[in-house]
Formats: sequence, structure tokens, C-alpha cells
Amino acid sequence: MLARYILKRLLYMVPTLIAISVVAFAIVQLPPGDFLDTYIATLEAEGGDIGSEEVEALRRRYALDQPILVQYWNWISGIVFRGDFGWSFQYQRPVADILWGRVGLTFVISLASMILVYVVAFPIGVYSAIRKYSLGDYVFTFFGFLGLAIPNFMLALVLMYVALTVFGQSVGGLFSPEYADAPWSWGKLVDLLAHLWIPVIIIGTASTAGLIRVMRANLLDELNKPYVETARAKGVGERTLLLRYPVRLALNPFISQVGWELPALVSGAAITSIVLNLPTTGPVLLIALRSQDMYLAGSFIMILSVLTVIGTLLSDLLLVWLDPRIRYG
Amino acid sequence: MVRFRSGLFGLAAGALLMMASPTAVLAQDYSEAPALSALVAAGDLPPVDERLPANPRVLEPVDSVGVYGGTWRTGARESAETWTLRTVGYDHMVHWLPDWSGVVPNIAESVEANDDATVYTFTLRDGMRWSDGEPFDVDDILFAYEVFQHEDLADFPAYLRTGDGPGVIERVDDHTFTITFPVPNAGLLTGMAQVTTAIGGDALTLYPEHYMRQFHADHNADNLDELIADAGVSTWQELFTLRTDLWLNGGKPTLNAWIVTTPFGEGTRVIAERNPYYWKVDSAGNQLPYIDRVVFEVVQDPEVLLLKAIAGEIDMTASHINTVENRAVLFDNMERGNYDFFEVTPSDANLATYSFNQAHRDPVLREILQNRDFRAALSHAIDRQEIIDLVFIGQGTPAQTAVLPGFPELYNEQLATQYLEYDVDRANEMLDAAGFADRDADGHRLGPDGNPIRLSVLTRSDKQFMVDTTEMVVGYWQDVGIDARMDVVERSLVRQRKNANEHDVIIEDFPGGNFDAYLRPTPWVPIHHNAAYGIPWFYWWQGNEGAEEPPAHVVRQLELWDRMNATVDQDQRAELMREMLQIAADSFYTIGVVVPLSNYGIVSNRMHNVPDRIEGSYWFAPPGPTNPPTYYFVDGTNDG
Repeated sequence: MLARYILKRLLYMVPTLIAISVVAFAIVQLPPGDFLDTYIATLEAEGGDIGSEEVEALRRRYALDQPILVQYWNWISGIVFRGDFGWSFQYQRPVADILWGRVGLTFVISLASMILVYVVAFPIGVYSAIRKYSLGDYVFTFFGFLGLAIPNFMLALVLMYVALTVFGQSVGGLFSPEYADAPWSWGKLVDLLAHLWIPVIIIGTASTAGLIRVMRANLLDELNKPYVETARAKGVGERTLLLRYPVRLALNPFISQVGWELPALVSGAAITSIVLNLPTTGPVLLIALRSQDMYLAGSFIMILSVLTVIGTLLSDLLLVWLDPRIRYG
Repeated sequence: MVRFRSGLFGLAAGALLMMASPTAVLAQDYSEAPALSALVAAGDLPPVDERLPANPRVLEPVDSVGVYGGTWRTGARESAETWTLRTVGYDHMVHWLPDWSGVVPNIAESVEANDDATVYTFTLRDGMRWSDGEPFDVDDILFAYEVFQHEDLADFPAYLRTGDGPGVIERVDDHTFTITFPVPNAGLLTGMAQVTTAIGGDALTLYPEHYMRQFHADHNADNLDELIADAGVSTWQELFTLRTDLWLNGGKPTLNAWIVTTPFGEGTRVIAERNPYYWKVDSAGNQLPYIDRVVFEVVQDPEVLLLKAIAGEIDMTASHINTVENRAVLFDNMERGNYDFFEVTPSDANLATYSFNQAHRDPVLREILQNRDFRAALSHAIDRQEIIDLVFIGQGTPAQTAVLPGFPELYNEQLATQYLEYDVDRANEMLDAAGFADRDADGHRLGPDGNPIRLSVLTRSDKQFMVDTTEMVVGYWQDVGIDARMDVVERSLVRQRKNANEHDVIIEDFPGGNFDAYLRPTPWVPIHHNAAYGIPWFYWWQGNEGAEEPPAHVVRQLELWDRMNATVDQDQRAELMREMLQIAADSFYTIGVVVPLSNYGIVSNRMHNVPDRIEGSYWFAPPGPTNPPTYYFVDGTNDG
């Protein structure tokens, strides 16, 4: 039964992914011009330029003079048959080199922020729900919305400035200069942690507020349901009652969210990473889109989409496991 | 040492000979960095005499002979980067002289050219070696030539090409080769002295034959497929391109002063270490470079570099953060960061040039835009000082787009100063007299077809000062009854519309205020796709589609330009340029607004031999020609 369900879902993924690949490629082609236009414009921004013969030579070399369908086929057949994501014009190396090299740190930062968000948001959300309109609820809500309202890049700049002026800490990147190229050691780990708190807090603040509200609202819906009254009437302790029944139900949206968290883990927080100069994947996507580095951008969107599709499947399976109503529904 | 005012072209006709400075140092006097001495003593490295060529290039330090040691910390962006190329990467066959008065042999020991600039003879330094100790000789040059000819690999660089085909490279002996052109090519050496990311002044010395042949299908039948698979690419052409770029491939032998050991993509820094086989010495016989290593902090947002500079973690830079906006904050933190400014002299012919499309598709607008008095009137309508005060924080001088007075051999006063003063009454009078006296109910002047004259000023969105300037200029033009509108679009869209000749007026900034007027006189003669006043004229000169024969005076200009490029004698070249510029002055193709005052870079107080003033033009590749291998730290350390 479950196996058939999974198989069916997997089969559905095939046409979805084909459609996504077409759309991803088309999106990258949408802006006027191609990579060479952006490339020349970048050179011109510094006062340089490039002759028109060179432009034509580059256009031939990158196969940008080919029809768009041929370009699409070259790209997608490389991915499907050879696992080759193509060539990044801008970085002048294979797309896979650029992406996979950055995935590790992206995961570390995103996971750390996600854990922080859950650890902070979950108890506060529960607290705010059961002590609705109390002083604590207002205080947490206030700070939560403050975190939501302050733009991430702004917070990043402020924290960097504070780190530099108050703590005298080297800013930008994930390591101090003396550890950047050193092999892993205790000191390097401490140094990493000393740098990690800034991006983790910044990326965390925005989503914490959102999750607090989700948790609070869900729980409020459940708290007044008759089964809670019943359980209470039967003498179940408040804490046990809370955790065993309404909180479990309120968790469903948390789980659904896993579907979106998976691609978020890889795409990272682009703007924050750019400001903080983190070697993560987010800025690469932004730069690739801006410079119309089409194979890099297309492959990136493709990978994110695949992860979203997989993440959705995973969260559906988790929900099936968690919630009997879905299992038997 | 003989210095030529404009390099090769400084000599009168006759056999032209360029010589490197004679070696004033005897071989046994050479000394080396302590770290290398230790390697020599341990037997891991040959002695310095054997590593240096018979005739190393001798550099005269700006301040004093330096000491070994230290790390040059600076910054870089991840893509389209030129600062790396201009600091560590600037070792070409010939170099600009530090004052940009011409070129001087660098990798080559000497260069000779015949009278009509069709045959060049290059002599390489005997005993010169790549950074891995392998000999550097004519085989490497011929391998590069083979690469250019291969249709799937890098093309001939522009300076090796002529209208009648590329130059032919031939071996004379192991250290001598000739390049023969079908027609005169007087721009070869100035082309080689330049640095850009694509054209590559270093194209001839980019391919160490003993190393690169393993990536070439014609030379490696054994394990090429393995190498391709290991690199994660699908064709050998891609592999070859990937391995050619020394900034991505730390294993590639080089002729540069520092070897890239940590390339782009392996972390947040790019690191280059001392090349033990570097082939230059200072005037006291010390092998260069003085500084042990160069570290580029790779950033996505230059703000990070700014913070590092303030914290004293940047030793020298003239890129990324040396903007007008940052000047105040960098000045305020000089003491804290222990650095000082040095002057970077811009060569911009103008920062805000408005080109009027004289080959417009619409015959009515074409007639209006071709009217010289119309353009002159619009020039008088602009309050340049107000723009400079508001947009450029006072850091500019009102000027038309012209060669700067600092380059007297090509300075044309008429071109630089005509129609410059802000005079609304005069602008209105000129417009009335030019036949645009009638106005509609809104006060807009009418064109010859009876409709209001409407101009769209195409403005690229990535340069904020252009947007701000155009916003003001459009207002001034409205004030004299011209319905001008600003059209801000993404920069590549500007290019596309311009290439398709779909624009009315475009704002651009142009180089060409200094020696670069010889290289890119785009604002004055349509030899480039940025000559927005006559794109179809440029196509005509190139023989491209969309061409339209230009008026007689433009044809004459293009003739002069072609003749200049086939002329070796410097006085004749300047004469041809001056005639061409005079026609431009009389034609008044573009309206200029402002030329910048000086720019700046920052340098640690501990770093010496950095000149107080460096030419800032992109074409000069600053600070490369000022010889970064001679930069050094006091006591050989960054801190102290």
C-alpha cells in the first residue's frame, strides 16, 4: 500500500522534473541579451572593453550562436546522460565544481540556523499560546516582529560593525585570516564558532518570528477543542496533556515545512551571505542570474527544484507517519 | 638605458631597435630570499645564478632597495576580476613604462621592427625558466601560436590580427622568433602591454608547452580521457581552457613573480607565493620579488574589504573600495588602519558623455540630431557645475569629452572647451535660430514635421551617477523646451538597443584622456560599438550588416585612423590623430559634462616603493607597470 503510494509519487516526479527543466532554462533566457552582453558591460564598468571580433569568437566558443533548443538539449542531455551540468561562463569552470564546493558550508550554516529557529520558536510559540495576551507573550511577540521587520542585510552590517569595533573581531567570511587555510584543529573550530553566530542569528531572526506565530496560532486552535477538555476532566496533568495532544497536532505545519526547508538548506540566505561574504551557494545563484550565466543558473534552479520535489515527498511521508488521519484518509 | 617617448614609435624611420637596460650586476653578486637560500642549502633548489637567465631584467626601485618578507594582503572579486591580473598577473612580453610614455621589453630581452611595421623580431632571455624550473623558449611561443590556430581553442588576440589575416610566427632559433603581418600593424606592442580579461596581453606566454601539451588532443594520446574525467568536464577543449587559467589552476607553471598556490574556488582567499625562478633583479642584484606572498581576500560585497581596510588588514589596493563615496571614511580611519593614500590619475575623457544618434532610423529625428547648432544649444543648457556639486560631491571639472590637457600632444582646446558655459538665453536663441522656434501649448519646441521634439535618453541602471546626472540634464533640456525623458534600463539592454541602432541619445563614460586616446578614441571617431552617435557608420567601417555610408568628414576620419595604425613614426601618428581630433571638434558629435579630479588608492605605511602617483586608466593596468615585485615591507614584516 505504502510502497505503491511511494512508487506512484516517484513516477509523477518525472514529468514534473521535465517541465521544471524547461521552465528553469526558459527563465534564465528571459532577460534581453546573453552572457556576453553582461560580460562586456562588466568590462565597460571598469573602463575596459572588448573588440567585436572577440565577442563573435566567444559567442561561437560558448555555442551562444546556436538555436535555443539545441542549447537546451546540450545542457539537459549532459545532465541526464553524463551527470555534467555544463560550463559556467563567468567562473570559467564546470558548474559542478562551483556548486558542490559550496554545499558543505551552506548546509552547516542553514542547519545551525534551522536548529536555532526551532529551539527558540517552538517553546516560545507554545508559551505564547498558553499564556495568551500575557506580558511574556507581548514581549516575545514584540522582539519576534522586530526580528522579522529588520532587513537581514541591515542586521548583518550592524552586527559586523559591532563585532569589529567592540570585540575587535575580524569580519567577513567564516574564519579569521590565520585559520582560513590552516588544517582543522580545535582552534579553528572555535574560530569557526566565533564567526558562525553572526550569520546564524541573522538568518534565524527572520524565520523565528514566523514560526512563533504559526505555532501559536495552531496551538490556539487546538487548545479549546473538546478533546482537551475531556482529557483535562479525566485528570491528565497540564504539562502531559499539552505535550501529548494539542502540541502534537500543532506540529503538522512544522512537518509540512520540511518540504521547503530542504531547498532552503542549499540555497542559503543569499543577501546575508553576500553582505557577510560567506562562501555559500546563495550568492552564486544571484550572480549567475544577474550575469545570465545560463548553465550555472539553470542547473542551480534545477537542483533546487529537485530538492523541493524530494522534500515535499519526504514531508508527505512524515505526515503519513505522524498523523493517522492522513494515513487512513 | 634608452627610453622611448612612446616606446617603439619614438624613433624616426629606419631599423627600429629596442633594448633592455644592460645588466649592471655581475652574476656572482646575485642574492635571494632567505627562505630560498635554505632550500638551496638543503639541495632542494638550484643556486640563484642557475635559476636566473643570463640577462635578467633589472628594475630600479622607486624609493630604495628593499628587504625580503611579508604578505601583501588585498582583495578580489570572484568573477570578471582584473585587480589580480594587474598586480600578480602583469608580466607580458612588453610592459608600459611606469609613466605611460611608451613600452619597454619585459619578458623579451629585445624587440625589433622593420620600417613598415610588418615584421617584428623578438629575442627571449637566454636561460629563463618557468616557475617549475623548465626552460622558457621559442617552443612555448610556437605552442601558443598552434593554440590560436586551433579552431576550438582561444582565438588570436586582437593585436596579432589585421584586416588581412593574423600574423605568422616563425622560429629563428631557440631564443628568437619573428611575427610577420600581411599589412602594417603598428599597434602590436601597445596591444601586448595591455591587460584585459579576454584579449590578454600575455597570450603568447600563457601556454607552458611542456605542461599544457598533456591537455591537448594532438599531443596526448595516452591518458587524456582520464584527465578529462578527473576534471569533471566533457571535452578536452574545456579541459584545456580550464587548465590554461592560472587563477583556477594552481599547478600551472608561470612566469609571474608569485605563483598562485590557492586558486579561486578553494576557499575565500586566493594566495600566490614567491616564484623561485623569477627572472628580475633589483639594482643591487637581489632577486625579486621582495614580498613573500600575495593574499587576495575574495569577496562578494566590497563593503567587507572596506571594513578590513579600516581595520588595517589591507596593505595596498586601488580597486573595489577606492570610490568617491568611500573617500571620507577611509580618510578618517587612516591612523587606525595605518595606511596612506596614493594618487591614481584618471584618464577618463569624460564621465558623462551624451551621444546623439546622427544615423537615427527616424528621418525627422535624424535631421534634428544631425543639426550641430541643436546639439550646441543643448550643451549650453546644462549647468555642469551644479551637476558636479550635487552628483560628484565637487570632485570634477566641467569639460566636453576630449583628450585631457595633461596629454599635450593630442590636447585640442576647441574639442575640450567649446559650448561649455551654462547660458540658457543663448541656448534658447540658438534653438530659435536653428529652426525650432515654434512651440506647442506645453512650451515644447516643434520639429520640422510639426510635432514636438521628443528625446529618450537611454541610461544604464548600474552606474548611479549616470542616472543622477541624466535626471538633472533632462531637466535642463526641458527648461529650453526640449521634451527629453530619461529611460533607465539594465546595462545589457542598453547595449542591445545601441547595437540595433534603436536609441536617440545615450549617456556613456569614455576613456581616452591620455595615451589611451591612441588605443580607443571612440568618442571622436566611430571605430567601436560604443560610438553611439553613428553605429551604422561603425558597421560600415567594419563591413558588417546594418551599415550605412557615413558623411564625407567621417570617412576622412576613418581613413586617418587606419593610416595611423599602419604608421610607425610617432610624430606622424600624432599628426594623423590631431587631424582626426580636429574634425571631431568641428563636428561636435557628443556633449560632455564632467571629467573627474584625481582618484586614489590606499597603501600601508609599512609598504614602500609604491609610487605616490599612478596612472589610473584601465588600459594602463595599474599598478602592474609600476613593478609590484619591487614593493616591500619595512623590516620585511606586515606588523612591527
